[in-house]
Amino acid sequence: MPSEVLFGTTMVMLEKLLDFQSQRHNMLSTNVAHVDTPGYKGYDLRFSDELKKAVGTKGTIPLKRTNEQHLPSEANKLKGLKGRLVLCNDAIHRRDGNTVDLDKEMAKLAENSLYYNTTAQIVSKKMNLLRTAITEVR
Amino acid sequence: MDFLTALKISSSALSAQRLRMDVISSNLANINTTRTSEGGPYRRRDVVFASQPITGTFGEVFNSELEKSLQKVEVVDISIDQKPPKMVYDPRHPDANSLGYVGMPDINVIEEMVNILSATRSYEANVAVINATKSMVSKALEIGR
Repeated sequence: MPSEVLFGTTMVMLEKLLDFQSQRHNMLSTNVAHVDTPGYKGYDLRFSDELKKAVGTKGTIPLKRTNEQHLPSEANKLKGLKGRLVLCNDAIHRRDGNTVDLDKEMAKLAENSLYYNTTAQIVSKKMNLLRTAITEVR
Repeated sequence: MDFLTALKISSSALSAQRLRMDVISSNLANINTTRTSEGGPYRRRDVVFASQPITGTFGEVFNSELEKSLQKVEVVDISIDQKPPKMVYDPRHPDANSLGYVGMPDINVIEEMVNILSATRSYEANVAVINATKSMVSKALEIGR
């Protein structure tokens, strides 16, 4: 995996984050789109628990595998990570059976897209660091 | 995972809300209509929204659990209100019955206005989502620039 060679597991983690955040964006857009659909049940995607489990309680980046016969690399564990679908019951007061609370969904959406933009910015900066390392040595 | 899914979902909601707006305008415009092609006074119409799976996404085969929960909005039916017409006394009206009463559409203007506001807000919320999607896409395009 070339990105692992150049950036270590950080890049794998950032890739995962971007992936997850775009998935969550899709999920939240669905919720907003269905704000007037009777009986619609809203979902959210959770990721932090899974990430914590994969990274460990101390939040350390896992070791790199130097030999094929070693135990599997933890980066592979990161790659298999997936968000967990959670049914949200924020607005149970609605009589049409719909569970979407528009204000909460819009707030989550804004928060999630800020996170996405931040992650993209970090990836961009990491690329820049590498580029500096490549070009600035004379 | 692609952003086209988010755009597809939001745009389906936009067109559904726009159709709802059309139906409400039709209700308000025909508030005094006594003759229709199906006979009798105009009857109030309402849209029926339903969630439908997005067809044609590549991921639906693989990432099924998540893909199943991503659904677009579709207007599956325009229901016709079966409330009896409101009888108004107006003996000079050409459609008045022998007792001088005319059957008028039973449409509550305030109810329709509230529905217009609700449709407008939902439309705006979806436009906001589309703008957020666009900003995320352009941010992703900046990676490696």
